Amino acid sequence: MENNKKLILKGVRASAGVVSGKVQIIRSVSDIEKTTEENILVVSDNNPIYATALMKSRGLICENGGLLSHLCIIAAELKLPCLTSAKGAIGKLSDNDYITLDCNEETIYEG
Amino acid sequence: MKDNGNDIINQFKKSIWNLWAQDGENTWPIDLNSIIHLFIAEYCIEFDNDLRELEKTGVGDTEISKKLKTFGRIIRLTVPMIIGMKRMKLTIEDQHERIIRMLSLAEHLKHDDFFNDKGGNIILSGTQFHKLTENGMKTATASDSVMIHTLSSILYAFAEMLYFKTHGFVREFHGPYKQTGKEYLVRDYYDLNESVLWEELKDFKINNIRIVTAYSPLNLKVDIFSNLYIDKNSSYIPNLLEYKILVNGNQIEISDIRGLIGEIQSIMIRLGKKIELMDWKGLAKKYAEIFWFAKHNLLNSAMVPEKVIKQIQNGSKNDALSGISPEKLYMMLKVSL
Repeated sequence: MENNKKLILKGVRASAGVVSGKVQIIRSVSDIEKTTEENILVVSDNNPIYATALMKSRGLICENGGLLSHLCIIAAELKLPCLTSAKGAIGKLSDNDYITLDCNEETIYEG
Repeated sequence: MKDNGNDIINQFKKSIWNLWAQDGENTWPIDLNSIIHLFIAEYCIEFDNDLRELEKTGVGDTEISKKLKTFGRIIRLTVPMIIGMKRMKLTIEDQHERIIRMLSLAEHLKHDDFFNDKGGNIILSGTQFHKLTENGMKTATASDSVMIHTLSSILYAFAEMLYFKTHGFVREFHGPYKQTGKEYLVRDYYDLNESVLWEELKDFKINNIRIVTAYSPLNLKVDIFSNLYIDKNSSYIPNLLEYKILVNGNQIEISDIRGLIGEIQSIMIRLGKKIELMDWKGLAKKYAEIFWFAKHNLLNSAMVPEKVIKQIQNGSKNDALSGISPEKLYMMLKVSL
């Protein structure tokens, strides 16, 4: 990862990979219909319905939960980069922010 | 199993701890710890009575185990029962006796290595595995693999949506069965169309799905709660070699999967909206229904007793147990068991 990118947050790798895309914060069932292939999802809870959005997305950031959190398991199964225990992600990220999710380095960068 | 009770209890505690340490805060749609006190003692008492009734009528342990369907379901039932037994104020000896009884029942549904000490969840015997894989295994293309793992993912989420945190009642992953340089994994899902729990399932015809997959070596491990572990830098999709999918016992083609995924997603969206609108009492009642459903084959009743329904209606959440850390839970486990 380039060093000149600004670090936003760190977390724990649940599934490896590096991907860039637009943030979509998922707060309710109605949000999942808006997910596009450009999105990196950010969630605070483990509602299984979010799996349907995850399938369309590029990656996943979970504020809470461990490696056996169910969305993390699903992301790994789908080979999507996934970072968990990213405390404060929803406060630090906003919809449509362009970010890089580097799960190999367990970090989230701007741009 | 009954001969070395203390070892068994200690191993079981270790398995639970391993699970809790990695489970994180899984509180969707409500923290089970905060509402389980509203029904679990009555559940344990009824469960005990059911077993006694069956024994009285001469039903043997093997038959009782089969009524509970899977090794995974019995194991998943045993964990909340620890809380129930504590609420019943049973002595430590009585708690141990009941847990060993449950684990002995589970033993009938598993072929080998009860606590998965060798890393595998070996449910099938060699003969059963051979019968399952001798015919119908298909070579997977890259696009087949994506489709199969998408199905597997949506089923995982679907089971959780139907059975909340206790989706281990209807999901059992087993293997790896190792053969000719391949690691075979079986993902079993049961009771997917129980409209007694969710009326949204009344037109869904699929009760059970079995996904059999053969991978190039992933160093796959499965714990007794059906959680999967592979090497950090490995992944399932590029390593799939062969597969076979059975729906209600009948093999389906890869071309059938897309429609199936769509149908499941559509149910999930309807259910997701419904669950989002349920209050905590509604969710607690649903959890009670799920628990009673899990044992309904014992005496053919899935009815939650009126007393429990009233307890939920008139009761309160126990937020002291909500969001409790795995470390604290383990301390409770150590003290109470």
